[in-house]
Amino acid sequence: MTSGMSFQEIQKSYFKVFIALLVLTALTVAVTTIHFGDVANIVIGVFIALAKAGLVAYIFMHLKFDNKRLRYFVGVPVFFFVTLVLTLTMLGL
Amino acid sequence: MSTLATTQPRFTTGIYHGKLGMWVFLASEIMFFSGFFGAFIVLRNLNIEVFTASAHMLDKTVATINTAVLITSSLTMALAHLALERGEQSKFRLFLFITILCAFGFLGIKSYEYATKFGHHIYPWTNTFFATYFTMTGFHALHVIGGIIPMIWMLGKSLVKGYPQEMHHRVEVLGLYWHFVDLVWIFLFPTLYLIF
Repeated sequence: MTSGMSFQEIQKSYFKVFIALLVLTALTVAVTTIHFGDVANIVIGVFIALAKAGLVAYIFMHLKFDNKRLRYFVGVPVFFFVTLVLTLTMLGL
Repeated sequence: MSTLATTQPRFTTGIYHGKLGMWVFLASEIMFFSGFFGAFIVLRNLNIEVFTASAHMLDKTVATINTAVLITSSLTMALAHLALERGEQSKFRLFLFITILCAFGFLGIKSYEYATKFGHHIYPWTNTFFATYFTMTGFHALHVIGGIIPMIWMLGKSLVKGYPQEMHHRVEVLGLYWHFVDLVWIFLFPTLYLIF
């Protein structure tokens, strides 16, 4: 299940992800104080959220360690979600 | 042997059934929340002034703290599973306990936010922004409560007779759900509080 990684390595990766999530949270709040333009600020916010989501799914939710086929399975609803959000956002621009 | 049959990776999917079941549920959950996000974007584009003015009334600082609380609970949930997988009962109990504390902390902070809004006479029917705000955060809070219940059950069981090490899969599956609740908040936080 944990594909060759030792307990210490996994624990270390959990703490690294935790620190990264806190840093990205601070970053996403910090960038709102700078005005890059309405669209740019939304794009930055979405990309930071996607990066955080990727870390959580990949490490905390074990997608990195599980059978690769699970990623395709999870990818289907994620694809629909991203397509919906992008389409509706672009329709409103 | 019945435990073995459901906790070993299956040939056809490469993962055990419990995990597949949770991922099927989470796939449906992604689509459930997609509807809210879709509605939010459409309503925002139609009422951009209302949404901007209303979003600025939200408390960013409190929401940032709440984000950190939920991220911490995700870490301790992952550590709780890791501890049980290695048979470390006391560590498992400690991490699970911290996870439950953080979950209640999140709900407490959320209640404070709601109470402040109600104090300013802001309700779900105030305008379309607050209608979507209360719907989305409300359903998210219900998911948090839905996670707390099995966590307390597991903690209770582990305090009475120790949680069986060979059932660490159950903790992993509950962890999947809990991390998903964290994931939803990761998207809700910038959407509601930050992009305006």
